[in-house]
Amino acid sequence: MAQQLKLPMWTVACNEDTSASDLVGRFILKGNETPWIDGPLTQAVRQGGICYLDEVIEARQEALVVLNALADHRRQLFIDKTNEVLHAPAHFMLVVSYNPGYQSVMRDLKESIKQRFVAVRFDYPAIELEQNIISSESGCTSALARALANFGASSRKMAGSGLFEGVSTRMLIHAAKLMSQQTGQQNLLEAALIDPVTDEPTIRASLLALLPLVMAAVHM
Amino acid sequence: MATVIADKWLESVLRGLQQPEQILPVVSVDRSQQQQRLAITPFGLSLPHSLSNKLSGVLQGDYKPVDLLCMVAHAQAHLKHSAFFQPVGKFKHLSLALISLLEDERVERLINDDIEGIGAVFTSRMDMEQALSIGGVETQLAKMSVCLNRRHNVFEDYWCGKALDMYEQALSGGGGFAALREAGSILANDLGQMRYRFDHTKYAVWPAYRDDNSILWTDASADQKVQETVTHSRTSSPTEPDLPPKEEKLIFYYDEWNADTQNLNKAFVTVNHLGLLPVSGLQRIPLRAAHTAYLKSRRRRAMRGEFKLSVDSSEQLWLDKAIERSIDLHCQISPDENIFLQWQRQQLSAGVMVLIDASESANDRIAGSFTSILDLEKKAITHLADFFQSARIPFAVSSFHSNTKDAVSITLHKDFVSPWTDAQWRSLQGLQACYSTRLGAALRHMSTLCVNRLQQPMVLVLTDGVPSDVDCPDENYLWQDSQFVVAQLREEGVGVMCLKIGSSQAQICQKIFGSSQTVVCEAVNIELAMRSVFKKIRKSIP
Repeated sequence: MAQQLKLPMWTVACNEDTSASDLVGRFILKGNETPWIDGPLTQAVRQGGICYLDEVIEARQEALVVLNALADHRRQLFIDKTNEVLHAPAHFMLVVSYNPGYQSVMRDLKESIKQRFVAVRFDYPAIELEQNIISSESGCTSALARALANFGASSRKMAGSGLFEGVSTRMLIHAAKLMSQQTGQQNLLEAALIDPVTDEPTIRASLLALLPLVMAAVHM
Repeated sequence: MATVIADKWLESVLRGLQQPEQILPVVSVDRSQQQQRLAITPFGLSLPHSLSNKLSGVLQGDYKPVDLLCMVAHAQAHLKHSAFFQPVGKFKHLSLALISLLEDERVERLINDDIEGIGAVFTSRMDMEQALSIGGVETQLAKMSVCLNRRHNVFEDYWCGKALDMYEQALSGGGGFAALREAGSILANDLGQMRYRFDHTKYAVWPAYRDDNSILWTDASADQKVQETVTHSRTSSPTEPDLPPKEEKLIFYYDEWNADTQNLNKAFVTVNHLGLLPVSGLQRIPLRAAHTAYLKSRRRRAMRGEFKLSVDSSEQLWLDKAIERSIDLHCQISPDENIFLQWQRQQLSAGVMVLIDASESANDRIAGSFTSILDLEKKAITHLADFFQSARIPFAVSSFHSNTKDAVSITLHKDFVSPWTDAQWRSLQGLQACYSTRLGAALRHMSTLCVNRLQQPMVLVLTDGVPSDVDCPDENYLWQDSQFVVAQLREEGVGVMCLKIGSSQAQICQKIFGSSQTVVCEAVNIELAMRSVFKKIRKSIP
């Protein structure tokens, strides 16, 4: 998006320690002075561009509060420590991302924050599209890519009954790369597709039972 | 050795293989030791208990997952594409075996459209050398299976060629199972004229992943067999040796609110407490108007809580001193007087008691599926258990049904302190739904179980209907009593929530529990609704 719009982008990987100061900025010690350093959000507002807060749900609640005035019609960033009010230019954009679903059972964005954004929903790709992605990213045969895409879809259907989340497209690409290098090794598939997602014996056995479908494609 | 729970495994595999529009069949485990193969019933699949060891073997690498996959996919093929209970008529055993063989091949081809790649996996299990080594007419049948699967007469055998031709001809005519019956009986007649001897008592379908096809046919003995399988799958498992033994039944008497007269009928309802014994606190229930509980049991001493060994009045437990004291007592020597046992009741800070409505209506099946509401409730509890465990919230699980005011049965499947184990999960799976819904009495008993046990108790009711019982012609009487109890529980600091499955009569549930504390969902969305319920619980329990 930044590339297409030719805008600078500030990316913040949020975590549970991410505070408002990490976004807005803070005074630092420098020699005998305590200059103010803009945080990535402030820089984006001052200069115009895209500020992308990845996994925003992980950030502290107080960090999210600073977004309120910025993300609604006011488009203002209040910096209380410097007593400044910044008005975001027209080409300033705020983008946040997080994983809804089971992860939000424990933590979720406040409705008031969610409603300040336009939402784009990303889900797993359809089988045909995922097959193309796996095939083009890994260079594997289309039969193996298809079988892996089917395996991914099957694992996702199992999610919720002991399996937290199904196999991701990223994992399927890794598996395809491994299988392309070491054809016929089932233990590679186990290592790439099953062990990373579960160590629960019953679910593991369930996923193992589906692997022959992939192995059959390998030997085609 | 890691243990795989057979029915949970099968359910997961089926879930992975199913199409979005399909509904999971009921799955059960036959522990009678008589069943050797996976059995298909009209209500779903029944696993042989012996399979559990093989499943664990999968993880150890000494059993091939491919056999398990074929077994499940073949069963699913029958469930989706076969017509069950065809009349045996005058067919001989060899005819039945051949027609079944043709049907096996037909459904396996069809399921390949649903499960991409499964055809190749089936083929990999059709070992030609193994087919030739069986002996007798079974070899001929196995060879036919191989040829039909590969769509080629790989043995260059006359009978295999004829079977192939007749099979393709039957299917191309669009005759379905009826055409296969005709083809199979002609082939059987031919083989009979060749003086092939077929002993149906020793015949085992080949390859081993295929079921015995008894589901396809009906006669007196087959009916009996299916009935036995179904009955067994419906029988509760608490009598199994690996489950906790049944505890003594405890009897409680509770009041009931009559809204018309604005009076409490004293000690009006009899509640039978079954399953696990409540750990402690019951004898401390005060004689209050609405929660009068009279415990009639010799077990009451056992429920008084836990003893804590203290030394010199300190609160610290000294293990060495405890051992010394035990040795002294064992040797009949007076122990050190400074060491004494102090009674102490553990009190948890917060917890959720899940109460399942196991009345007859829970046996209703979801339209177009084998799944009942009770099955969904059990699944919902499993999801909820995962949530509670991840959030470290103590939880208990109980179920209830009633058969008039004299017999309200409440079963405690899991208490707050015990972990969520396979035994408790199985106890829940063995739950059967019957009779009516006397919710008020059940809620009063929940209060008995929770109030002295938790500082901040919460009761979550899972129900598909509204309170009713056969001795209450006034349809308002029981829900008004429930409404009264809920209000009283909340006054005492007990949170009460409801997950109502199905939108019919949801407004009554909302009257009982309040709109904000009632989540209404359709049966198929129960998993999603559980998340919503859990969020509400999280808000209530910080």
